[in-house]
Amino acid sequence: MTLLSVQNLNVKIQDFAILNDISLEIPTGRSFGIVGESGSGKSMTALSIMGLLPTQGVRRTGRIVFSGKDLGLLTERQMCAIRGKEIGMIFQEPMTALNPVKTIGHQVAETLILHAGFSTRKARREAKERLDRVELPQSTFPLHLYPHQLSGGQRQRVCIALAIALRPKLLIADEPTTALDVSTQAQILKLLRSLVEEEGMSLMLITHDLAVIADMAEEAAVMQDGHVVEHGQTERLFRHMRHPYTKKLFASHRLETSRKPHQHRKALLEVSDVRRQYKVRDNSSLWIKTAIKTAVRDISFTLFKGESLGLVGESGCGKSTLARAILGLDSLQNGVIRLDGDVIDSQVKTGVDVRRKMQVVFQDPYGSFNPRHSVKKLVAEPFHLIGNPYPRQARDQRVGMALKEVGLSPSDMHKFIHEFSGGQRQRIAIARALVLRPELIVLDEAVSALDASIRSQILDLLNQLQDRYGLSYIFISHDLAVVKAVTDRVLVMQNGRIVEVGKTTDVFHSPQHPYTKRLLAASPTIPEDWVPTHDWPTELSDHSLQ
Amino acid sequence: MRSPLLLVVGAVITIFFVMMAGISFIWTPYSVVDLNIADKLLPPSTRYFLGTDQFGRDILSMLMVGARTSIGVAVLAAGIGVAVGVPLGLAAAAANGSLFDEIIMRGNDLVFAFPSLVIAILITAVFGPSAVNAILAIGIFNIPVFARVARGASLSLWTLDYILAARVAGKGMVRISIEHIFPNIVSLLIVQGTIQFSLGIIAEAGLSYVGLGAQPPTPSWGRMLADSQTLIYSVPRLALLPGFTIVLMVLGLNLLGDGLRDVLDPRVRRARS
Amino acid sequence: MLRYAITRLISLGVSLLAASLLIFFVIEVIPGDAASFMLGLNASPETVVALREELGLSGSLMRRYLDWTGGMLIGDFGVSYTYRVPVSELVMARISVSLPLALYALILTITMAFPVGIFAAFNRGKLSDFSLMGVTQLGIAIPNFWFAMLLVMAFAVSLKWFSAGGFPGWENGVLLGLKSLTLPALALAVTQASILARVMRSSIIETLSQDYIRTARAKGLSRRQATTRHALRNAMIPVLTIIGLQFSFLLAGAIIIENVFFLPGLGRLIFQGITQRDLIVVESVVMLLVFAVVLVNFVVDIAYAITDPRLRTGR
Repeated sequence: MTLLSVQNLNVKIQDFAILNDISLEIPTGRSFGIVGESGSGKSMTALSIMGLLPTQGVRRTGRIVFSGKDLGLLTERQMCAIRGKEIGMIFQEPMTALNPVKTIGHQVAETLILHAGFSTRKARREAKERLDRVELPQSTFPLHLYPHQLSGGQRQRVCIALAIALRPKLLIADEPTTALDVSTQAQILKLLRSLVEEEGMSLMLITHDLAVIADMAEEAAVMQDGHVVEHGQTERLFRHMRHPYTKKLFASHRLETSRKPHQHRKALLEVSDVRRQYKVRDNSSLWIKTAIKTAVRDISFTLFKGESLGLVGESGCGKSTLARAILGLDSLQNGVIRLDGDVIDSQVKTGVDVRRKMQVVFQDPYGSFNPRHSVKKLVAEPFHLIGNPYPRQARDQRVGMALKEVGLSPSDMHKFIHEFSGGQRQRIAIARALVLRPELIVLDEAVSALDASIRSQILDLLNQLQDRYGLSYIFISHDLAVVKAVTDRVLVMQNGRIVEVGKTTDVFHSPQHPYTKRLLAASPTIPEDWVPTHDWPTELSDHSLQ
Repeated sequence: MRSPLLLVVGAVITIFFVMMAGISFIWTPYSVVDLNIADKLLPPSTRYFLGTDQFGRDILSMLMVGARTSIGVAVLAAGIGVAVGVPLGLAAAAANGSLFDEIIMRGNDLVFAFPSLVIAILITAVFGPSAVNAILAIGIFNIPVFARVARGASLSLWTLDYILAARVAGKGMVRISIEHIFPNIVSLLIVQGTIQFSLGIIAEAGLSYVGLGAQPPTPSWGRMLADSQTLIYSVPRLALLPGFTIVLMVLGLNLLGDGLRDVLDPRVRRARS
Repeated sequence: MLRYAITRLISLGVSLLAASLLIFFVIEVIPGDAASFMLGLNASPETVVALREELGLSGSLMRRYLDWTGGMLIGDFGVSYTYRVPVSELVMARISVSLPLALYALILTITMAFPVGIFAAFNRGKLSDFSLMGVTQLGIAIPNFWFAMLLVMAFAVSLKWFSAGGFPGWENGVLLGLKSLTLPALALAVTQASILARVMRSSIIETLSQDYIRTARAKGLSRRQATTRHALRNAMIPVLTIIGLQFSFLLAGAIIIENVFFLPGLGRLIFQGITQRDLIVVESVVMLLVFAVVLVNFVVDIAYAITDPRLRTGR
């Protein structure tokens, strides 16, 4: 039986088509997935169903029929009665999704008071029960807590609790786990699954992650540029994908890179007994008191020339702090880091010769560049390290070459950063890292903010550059699939310690430490046998892509 | 609701007053120092465009020279704020969380506890009233304003990756502050500068009004209002003209500031595109 | 919460200490010494010596500071040189005009600004929003003492609803006192109310774009419900900061406005002190004004913590 049927939905914002002819059917009591890259119109579809599109300049045509009612014909007041009561929704960013000045109990109870006319006392009792349902037991999570006292995963549970407070027929979850760690993601997904199974709720799960869809959804739709390009039963969709875009998405998810493993002999970076501690202000105390937090606890490892080393762990495990220490940005409390035999020092004046041998690429393609500088100036920034031995022309030439190497045009150096897309910006960041021909590049979540298809392009580029220049990479990521695809060895970090080290293939196939096992088990995967049947040769589909 | 039109209006008004003040250096219709009791309290005419005051001075000339005083005091006071406050704010942000940062911010709070008028009172009580002391008083009050704006804006920039990239490129705190932080807060500082400029005009008028600003015979808008007060029943024109002048000037600056904010503030710009 | 209040209280004490040092230092840097400064150039050496004794200037720097601050703690501000009465007496008489005036103006500010700011935010982009914001632009541009003169012209001279100035004293009835403070308070409030209304409006609009408003809407709250239940309290956080700052502007503004309306407040006292070079009066009144400002900021900090749970409960 169909719960929600979207028929020929079109949305235009100021004459710009956002959604084109979307048609979907969501059956009662099932999980329905929508997958697509950013800008594909996934969230817009959800907001259209909720009737929460911005009011100004938006034109919507088509029908949205929800349990027999055409939502397009309802007044705003009637829509309010449906939102939260019959359709609940949760969003991507749990850190900001809750009102910071109201208690979680209040926020859950509000739904109940609003729609069911509960008394405050009854609503509070019910709110306790609902929070219990999302595994926030009263003993540790009483109603009077405020959102800032909870972690991201716990906040997302509160969001779910208030969305399902009245047992709606449909729950829309818009990238509910994207902002969360992999083990938290697994718990939230498990909770969502049990809600569908036990409460007979339908779930509309929006995500960019094919593995999450494979794991969660019985039926799925693939969206691109405001169109549904393919939909159907999930397993069948994976096995018999027809549309070239689906194939492309699948291929880039698989991350089948052309990487050749390397033989490594010579040590490049030696990290021995490194400890990083910093002071945190203790606000709970009356007097200004600082507590010492140890982020990295006596870590030792060696990175070889030409090697790619993965560094994985969940947020707060100390991997970024370690990266900063390696880059010589912070002073160490214990131990020493040597690059090519020279000690890395956090003092600016010293260690210029060491510094020029290493560079960094960060996660955020938007925050990585000074918006007021031209690309030429941005890429040339590391030249600061070698004084000014080059005449300007030779320098410009080097910048041009670096841009060419990352697949951009030398003439791009006169543009400004806002003229580039996210993927192009990450290429510029790599050009900046490359311009001095360093030995080591630290990639701190360098592909995490990118869409899957762009991500695999950037990874390919990094592989090529490594082959060409014998670069060593430290690849920091929370995304295990990426690390698995592009590294030779991997370090697993937990609470500032390395819990497991080994060849990437070994660690991923037979993890030894329980934490690694847990981490691997938590990350959603597409079943190995859900591969496309090769009815259509890949060459042909590649052509149709053009 | 805002449009470039308001920016243009604000800019035109501001430029008009700055030009009036500029012209007053080389030419005014009449002298503002010589008293001419025979011509006192004349209504507007072709001879005296805006009439004369109780000492027979030409009001238009007084307003022109008054513009010079007002703008001069306000601009110099804002300059003090920028020159001292911005480096302090940049340094505090660079040393975020350190004792130095703490001291600067607490010092700021302390100066905030003294409204500019109270600072002026203290200074005049000791050094006597003058335009220079008015500049000092308003300027001291401007310091924490600019320090706060500079620090706040810089702090969010320091967390960005391009600052880390610059540090990886071996650049020190001072160099990063000058090269990467300052250029990105300039637009905010310009907007704040316009606001402090307009507040300075009002503050100067207030100080002159109570006799703590420019001393006679230097004309100033605030003094003209004070002098007109006893004649408010008989010749309201004397109180109305300088008042309207102040309002127009401040309005123009505020429109300019709002307009500049819309044009320069990247946050607003992003939200629009 | 208590812990937070105590930290704020300590910081209040530190501010007062620093302010007293600063004022003391400024008075100390006077060329020559305070006694000859106060008496002027023509004073005979004997009178200067006598005044020095009276002011306690012969003691050490430390001693004088402790005498001054210690005296203030027990309400002894010294004796005014010109009036020959204890400064505390003078101040008490005057503060009963200035403080009510500033508070009256603050209440007027809030009662004018809140409805205007909220109404404009709700009708964002409409003609009513546009015209209200135009009025506030004008309100910000008007110097309050000039606006006071306009009010006198309109309501005292032409309409004769209020007297043009003076203060009958509280002993003649509270209502009469309030009436004579109405025009001055209104003159003070107009500028600050314009600023506050604009802050209120933009704060609400900013808050409305937050994620939790979307959550509230997805719960089934109407636009209006989401605004009143979830946006307003969050929008109050920056508004409170501004209110705190505004009190010090109102207090300082009161000093000027008192001159327009011939009110016997602290402003008149301090200007007489300046013209008569009565430093004891000046330093005491300045210290008192600073104390009032610091105290109001403390109250604002507490109000902050009541509004924003992130401040009162640790992680």
